Amino acid sequence: MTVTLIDPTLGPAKGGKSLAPRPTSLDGAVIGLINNGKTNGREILQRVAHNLGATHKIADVILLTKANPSAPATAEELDSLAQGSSVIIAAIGD
Amino acid sequence: MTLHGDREVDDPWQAIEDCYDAGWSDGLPVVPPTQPLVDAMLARGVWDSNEVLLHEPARGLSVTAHKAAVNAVLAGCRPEYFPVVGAALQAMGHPDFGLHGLITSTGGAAVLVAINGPVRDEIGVHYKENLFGPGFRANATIGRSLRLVLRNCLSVIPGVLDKSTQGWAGKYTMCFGEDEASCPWEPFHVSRGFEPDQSTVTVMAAESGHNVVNHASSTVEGLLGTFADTMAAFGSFSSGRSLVVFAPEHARKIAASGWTRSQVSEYLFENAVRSFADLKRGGKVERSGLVQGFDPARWVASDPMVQPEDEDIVVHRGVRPDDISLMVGGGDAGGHSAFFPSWSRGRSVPLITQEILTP
Repeated sequence: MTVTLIDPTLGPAKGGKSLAPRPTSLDGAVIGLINNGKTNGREILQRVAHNLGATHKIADVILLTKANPSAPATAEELDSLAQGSSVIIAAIGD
Repeated sequence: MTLHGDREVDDPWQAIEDCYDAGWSDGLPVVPPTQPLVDAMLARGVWDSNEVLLHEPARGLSVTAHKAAVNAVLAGCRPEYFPVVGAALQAMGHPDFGLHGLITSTGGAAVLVAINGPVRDEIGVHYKENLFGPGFRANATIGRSLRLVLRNCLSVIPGVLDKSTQGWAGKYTMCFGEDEASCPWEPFHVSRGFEPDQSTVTVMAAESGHNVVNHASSTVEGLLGTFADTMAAFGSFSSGRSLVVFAPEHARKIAASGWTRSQVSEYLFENAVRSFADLKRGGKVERSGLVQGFDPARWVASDPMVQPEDEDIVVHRGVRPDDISLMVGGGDAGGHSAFFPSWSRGRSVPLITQEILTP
């Protein structure tokens, strides 16, 4: 006797996300930072931006801090950041 | 590791082992999910097989009624439990519930499920002795099915996406009914706008419960003072929500006092407090350069050092009285109630109540 067991799982999301094109240079770039709002998250990101500035001609740095670390950034916040930035870096501070 | 896809086994007794091998179990044996069992489960719900019951936006994953039914079979649910399982998943998908945060956080919350209305007695949801413990199929398997959905559909696997530092046993299952007949007031779901003859599930992202023992208080203030003291303990003290489940013995004392539901919540809110200085000394306030002074919702401050004026600033558990929800449940004997703190050291998420619909 053969028993067929029905799959209870989901695979990865279909039609999902892909990586944005990688920049060939950061010269003149505006770096967007998404801070999750937890302790030291901002400090980590700002240090990353500082270090990038030491080796690239960064034009500007924009920081977005989420009001609630556990909730996604709003669509408006993400749209604004995406439009104003060349490259975006996210990090978790905890 | 989780294996995807249907599987075939020759020996029915090997089916349980095969489910273990596929990574589909929470550690306990599961019921092998065969097509007839899945069909019977789906038939008792109000949803088409492909209807989405829960959408997780962070990763764009959707749990259909079909996948929910397979996991309800795995968990050992009877088909008549499925409307409750589906309603709980819908509640968990409410945007305010912030599902991705609580299921991945180091905080290790369980999804606590409280059931109100006629469905409790129709399907045998237990609300008397040992209601939080083992012994009752509906309580055991409804809560378990939610955890299996999280594991199998959303990859909420310890060390993968579930980063709980410790977690707690309620993550196997945490499901109970309210003892509405012992409640001094309207049942919990009626207090949230539903009719008494409607059935509902309420979900909460809950830390493990704290036993609140009080056998001897002769006044309602004395009795509730024990609760407030428990709720003000540093270990779980936060700006988040609270759930208090009064034992019937405690509920009878409150009923005799004539205090209303809102009076009790307000008393607990006013007395579950610490000074701001205490909070700072206890390591409960984190430094943030982004706020002026103290943010009472997130408990961050520009200056985490204790200042003399901090001794006179009162900080409550939660930010308003209705952050404290009240239910009743348990055996008729015993002065043992429970306090469940919400997940997260900050504001956390609200309790979500959803109607249970049947065909």
